[in-house]
Amino acid sequence: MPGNAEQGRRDLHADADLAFQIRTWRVQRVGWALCVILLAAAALGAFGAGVFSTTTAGSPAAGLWAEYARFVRGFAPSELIVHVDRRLVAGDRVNIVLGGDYVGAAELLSLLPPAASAGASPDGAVIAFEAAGGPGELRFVLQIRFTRPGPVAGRVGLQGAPPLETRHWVYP
Amino acid sequence: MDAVLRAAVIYIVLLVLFRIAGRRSLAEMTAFDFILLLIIGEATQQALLGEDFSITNAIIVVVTLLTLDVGISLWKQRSARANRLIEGVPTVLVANGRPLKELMDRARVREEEIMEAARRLQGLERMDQIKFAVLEVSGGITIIPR
Repeated sequence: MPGNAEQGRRDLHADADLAFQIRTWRVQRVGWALCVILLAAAALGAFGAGVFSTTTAGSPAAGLWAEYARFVRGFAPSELIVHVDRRLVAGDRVNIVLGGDYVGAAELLSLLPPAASAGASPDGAVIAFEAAGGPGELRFVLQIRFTRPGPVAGRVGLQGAPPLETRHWVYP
Repeated sequence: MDAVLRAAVIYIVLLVLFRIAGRRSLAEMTAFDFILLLIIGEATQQALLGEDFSITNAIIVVVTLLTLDVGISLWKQRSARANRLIEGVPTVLVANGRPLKELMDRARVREEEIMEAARRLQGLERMDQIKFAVLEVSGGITIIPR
């Protein structure tokens, strides 16, 4: 068979290099396999929302913990969910501090519940929420988007208490 | 600078992806292939422009893409190796009336497609009337009658 193809190449004066073409097909098959791996990784969350991506900082036992996406895409919305045990909060205000790379590498898109007030402190941005009701868990959903690709090390916590460390990888 | 980088990355990624997909992909445009191309264009548009919808940004992106295209065409013209790498090489699929099955399978071309090209281009009826059928770098099939 290669003999017939070779005769064709000679007769047609074409640059029909069969060995090169066979190498190209091999590379293409490897490329297809890589595409399938890429899609599987994407489905599992390697490039954003998914089981590989969702992670937590802190623990429910400590009364303060956060859920966030380890892998995020630049300028795409992402959720940072902060859980606070009501017992850790004195009074009717919860002051959540966003620090580290969150200030400068991310933008806050929305807050649920809405903030009562916001301000700045040496530790970062302070967002105050109204805290109502008795004992239980308070849940704050911060929708953020990252504006800088690469690693982002954030800090989130209650004002006056040690913060939780979060680590994101932001795809361009 | 950001717009230039974005456009260059998208250009190179698309070049590599379409090379990996093979020349048969989108070679003979069906209505669906056309829709697929539009969707690919839509999907890359946001990544190309980012959040800057200004005329200046659009001009920078278009100039980047055209400059890269001209640059690569010059490179292909001067280097046979670059031309092969980027465009591929023609492949003989039928020689002296005999279909070269293994090569056809690898190139994802069926006998029916070769006969369709033979009928359309040369008015041939049978495989043994074909001297050579060549899968060109464009993805089209050329028929040389016996």
